[in-house]
Amino acid sequence: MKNEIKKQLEQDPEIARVSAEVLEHMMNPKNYGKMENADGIGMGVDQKTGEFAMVYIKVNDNILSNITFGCNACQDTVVAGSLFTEMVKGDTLENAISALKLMREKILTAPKRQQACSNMVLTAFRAAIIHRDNKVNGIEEEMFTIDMKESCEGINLNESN
Amino acid sequence: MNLTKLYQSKHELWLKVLFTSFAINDEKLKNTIYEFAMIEFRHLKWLSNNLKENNISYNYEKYAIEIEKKTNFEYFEYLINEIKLCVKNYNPEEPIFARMISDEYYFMNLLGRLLQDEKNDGEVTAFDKSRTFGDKELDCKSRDALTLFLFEESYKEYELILLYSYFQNYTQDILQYNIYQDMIDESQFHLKSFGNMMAKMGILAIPRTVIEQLYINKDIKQFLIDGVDEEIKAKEECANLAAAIKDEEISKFLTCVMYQEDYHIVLMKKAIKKIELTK
Repeated sequence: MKNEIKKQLEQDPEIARVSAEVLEHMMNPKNYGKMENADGIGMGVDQKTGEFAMVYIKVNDNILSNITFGCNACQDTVVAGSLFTEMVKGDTLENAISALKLMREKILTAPKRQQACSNMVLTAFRAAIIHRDNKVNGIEEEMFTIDMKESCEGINLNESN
Repeated sequence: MNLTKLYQSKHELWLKVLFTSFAINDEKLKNTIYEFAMIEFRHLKWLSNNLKENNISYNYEKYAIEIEKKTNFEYFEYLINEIKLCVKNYNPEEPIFARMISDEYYFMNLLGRLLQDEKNDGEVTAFDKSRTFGDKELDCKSRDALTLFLFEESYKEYELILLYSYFQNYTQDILQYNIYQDMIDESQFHLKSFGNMMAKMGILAIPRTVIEQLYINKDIKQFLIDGVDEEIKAKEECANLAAAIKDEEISKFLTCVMYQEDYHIVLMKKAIKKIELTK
């Protein structure tokens, strides 16, 4: 994980308030868009609202050489996606998974609605890793999808995967 | 360049011209450039129709656009260069492209003339992140609420313009076609209003890409049903923000937008009914 972002995340867990950093991610989201020939494509879906996030990953020699995301969701999801992809891009898969866990813990300090929206990107990342693993094991599928446990409308949904 | 790629370039060019109009402070120049953005949007509509008639698929993918400039003159030069790059790919033998060439040569000429007069230059403050709104005093909470609202809604209006344009291009029904046109016009007005407000606050940004799952092979009836719910939520957002912002002018504008959303619901329900009747 890039040190300066890790430090920022540890000091500044409320990633959805409009700080200078958040504003920068809102104005210029990093790593946004579809990736051609991705090794893994994952989707996190909030079935209650229909909102979703998608994460595309490219892995070379266990290094997350590229990661992009897209979403049909609110600014909290955009900011989380921009922040998270910047954090893990170029790092090892193991470190990226550690970063996911750290970010999940930090998100828990945010208001419920922001938790669900921010988690959508992390869930999509987890789904992208599963999709890549499945591909390696010969399972052909367009992408891997995980339904969100929490809806941003605050209603618990059953996590299907 | 194939036509699908050309479509992407025209889409990007429309955004470049449109967001230049938002970024520029001078009202007269802003309006002149906005009119050309609307012409670019019509080009895009004609091109999408041309693609459909030739059974060529298209989408709303776009590259990241670096729109931030410091002066009006930088924008004029930037637009001239961007238009030149696009024009190179037109086939002048086809009427649609002959029309585009004519419009864009005129626009480049106009921009060239603007560059001749120093009075047309000026500082651009649309990206300075000041988050002030003219001489209005917004407290921290109002400023944050307005910032989040403008980002959410400017993206939403851009998304709706593209989605309704896509559905309009593929419908055979005149009533639906007209309703989608009304919705596009309404969203153009909202995007212009929100874009100019963002520029005034120094937080102007081009909306993110609209992903294709939202419009390709979409169940339009379900989209409209969900859209009615979204309009209701948007109305609530406007009402909450209007109440939270202690500024009469902004509140009045938001209240006006709120009533506009009411009529969108009427139009969308009319389109839903027509889809049900034609099934």
